[in-house]
Amino acid sequence: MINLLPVEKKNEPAYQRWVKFGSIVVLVCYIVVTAGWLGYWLFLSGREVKVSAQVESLTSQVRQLSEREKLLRLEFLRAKNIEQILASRSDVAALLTKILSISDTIELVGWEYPGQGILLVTAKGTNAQKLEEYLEKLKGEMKDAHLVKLIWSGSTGWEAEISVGALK
Amino acid sequence: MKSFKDLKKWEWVIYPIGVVIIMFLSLQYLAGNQMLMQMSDRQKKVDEQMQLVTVLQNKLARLQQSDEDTIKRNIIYLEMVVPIRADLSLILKEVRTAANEGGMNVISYRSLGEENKISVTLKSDNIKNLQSVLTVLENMVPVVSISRVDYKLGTVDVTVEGAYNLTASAAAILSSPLPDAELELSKVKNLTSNYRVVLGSENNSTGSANQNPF
Repeated sequence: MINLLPVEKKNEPAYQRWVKFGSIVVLVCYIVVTAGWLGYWLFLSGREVKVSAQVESLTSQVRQLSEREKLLRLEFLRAKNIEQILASRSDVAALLTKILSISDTIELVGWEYPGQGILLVTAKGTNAQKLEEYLEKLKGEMKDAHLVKLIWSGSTGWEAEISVGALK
Repeated sequence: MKSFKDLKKWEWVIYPIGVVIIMFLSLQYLAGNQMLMQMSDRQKKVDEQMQLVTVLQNKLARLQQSDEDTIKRNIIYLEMVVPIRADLSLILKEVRTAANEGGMNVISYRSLGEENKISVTLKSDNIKNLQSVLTVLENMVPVVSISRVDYKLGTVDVTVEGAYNLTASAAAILSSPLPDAELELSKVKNLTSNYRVVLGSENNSTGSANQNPF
């Protein structure tokens, strides 16, 4: 085999050849990476211009329909507000219905709803035991049922004032 | 000639030095133009713009699909459920309608100094009539809430509060997606589907209630 390398190259030490070769490899890799990076930079620049134009076009189209947007947002706000009003309302009729459904053994002479889900019930019974049974029934169905006052008079008989919370 | 030969001996060193110089100069050029720093900013900006494009495309599609007359009709319906300002005469009309239907008589009524609150005294011998009155009242539009009830021996004082909505207008927010008004409207319609509408003002003393048209 004929070796065409000049004499001084043939005599070059191996480590020098490796340094030269390594430097060229590093340079080539660097150029490839930098070119890729610059390519991506150019791609991003082009994309930025394109997307900006798209945003501008869409913005102007949406602006043309801004009155419709205002109406839709108003519809949403009003509906949301109504939903909150309905959710926060105490269902007083349901409370009274519940009280009436368990008041078959006594006579309901007073019923006060002062707000905040508290009720004051005034019940009249033929004897104190009936009123006690009624209180136990209320305790089973409602929150925080307790006796406030128990009165007996010759004209009206037994009357109990009971405070109850909301439905259980 | 000898010095040239000496230099030739160090030729191999020029390669790595040259590579380092090329890399150093090019990186300095890129850093000087702030290209390295701007890369992440530009990427972030493009991502944000892309998200905005998606939002705007969806928004535009929904706006184009929606019908302005239908939205206006829906708003009128919502104003009927909860008016934008309180109307005492309408609240009184609702109470009278409920009292008539529940079999109770309106003895007196008075304003409580607030634009949406009224206190009414009703009379009936049967507490079950009160139950009917309250049920009717709580299932009427315009929506009212019962804030106080005091029943004693056939006479009842009821404090009724008319709900009202101060949201008179809304602003368009360009970069914000549209809220789901249809969903909220359908929730309200479901909640008030069994409600009855009290129409007109207190001038019509007989009072009337119609089924909810929705």
